[in-house]
Amino acid sequence: MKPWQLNRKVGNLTRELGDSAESETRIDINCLTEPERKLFDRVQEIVDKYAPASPPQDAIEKNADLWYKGLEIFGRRATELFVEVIPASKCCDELEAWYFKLYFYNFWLDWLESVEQVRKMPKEQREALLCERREMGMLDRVFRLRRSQAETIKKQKIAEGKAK
Amino acid sequence: MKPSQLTKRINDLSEKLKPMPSEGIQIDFNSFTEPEQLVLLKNFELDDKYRSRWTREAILENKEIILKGNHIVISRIIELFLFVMPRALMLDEIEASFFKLNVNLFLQRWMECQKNLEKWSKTDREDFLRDMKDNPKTDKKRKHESENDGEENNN
Repeated sequence: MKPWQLNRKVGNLTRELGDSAESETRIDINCLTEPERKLFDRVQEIVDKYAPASPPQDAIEKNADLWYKGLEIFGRRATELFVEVIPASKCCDELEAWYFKLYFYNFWLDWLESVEQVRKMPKEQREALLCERREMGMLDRVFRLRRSQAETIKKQKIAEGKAK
Repeated sequence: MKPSQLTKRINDLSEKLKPMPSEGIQIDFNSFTEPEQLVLLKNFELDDKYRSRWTREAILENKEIILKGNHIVISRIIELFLFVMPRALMLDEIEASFFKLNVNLFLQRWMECQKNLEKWSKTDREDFLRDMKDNPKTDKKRKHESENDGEENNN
């Protein structure tokens, strides 16, 4: 089968499958450990107690440990799934999987650095950035950022040194 | 509740949750649409049929169903990750937009790296892997940050 024939066949399948956005993706609760499930049952009990409204602030505060731990479990499990499944689905060999992990680790560091910068901003500057991005429709859009090469960084440092 | 009390309570919970690791994590099958489920079931069927006996012909014959199955799984996993993480980390709007941007950059860079890796010779790949196993570099203080995009061995 030629690549264009394969593309057409996969394209046809995509059209037949329709839009997946109509169903949200959920983690299978049966994969969680017994203690993890117990924690979520406890959180659900609290949510049900105040339903259909959201639990009041004092109830959340009183059980903040359950809330935070629950969020941590979801975050950890979603990350675990992402790191395990993506390289496997792309049929990566050992070297490609190693690079995947390396890039993933760097993604966290890059993101932490950007968040650190954002959190250092005075409230007004942060609000202005948010307004600007919202007006430009940038909050939900992504774009390519060229990563600085080591040589560029060296040149920048030399230039900064001379400026001082 | 004071931050120290909260930290202590979370640590107590962590202790209780620690000893029983699960056998892996999966997506709830019911969260796939019906047509998606059919594609995935077909993939499971093929996997059962050819388990450890996959031939080139069998792969080529079922190429589009395998590719579509992988495509469904990859898109759902990325969707889940992008949905869960900003909420789990309690990010505000601007932090969440940086998160999304960085995830996309990471995926783009990794794909570029994949393209570079394809150009490596088999010997280069094996040598590199052997070196990695023999001399794993620990760089906790990130003193030796470098651009490592698989271009190094592109001879």
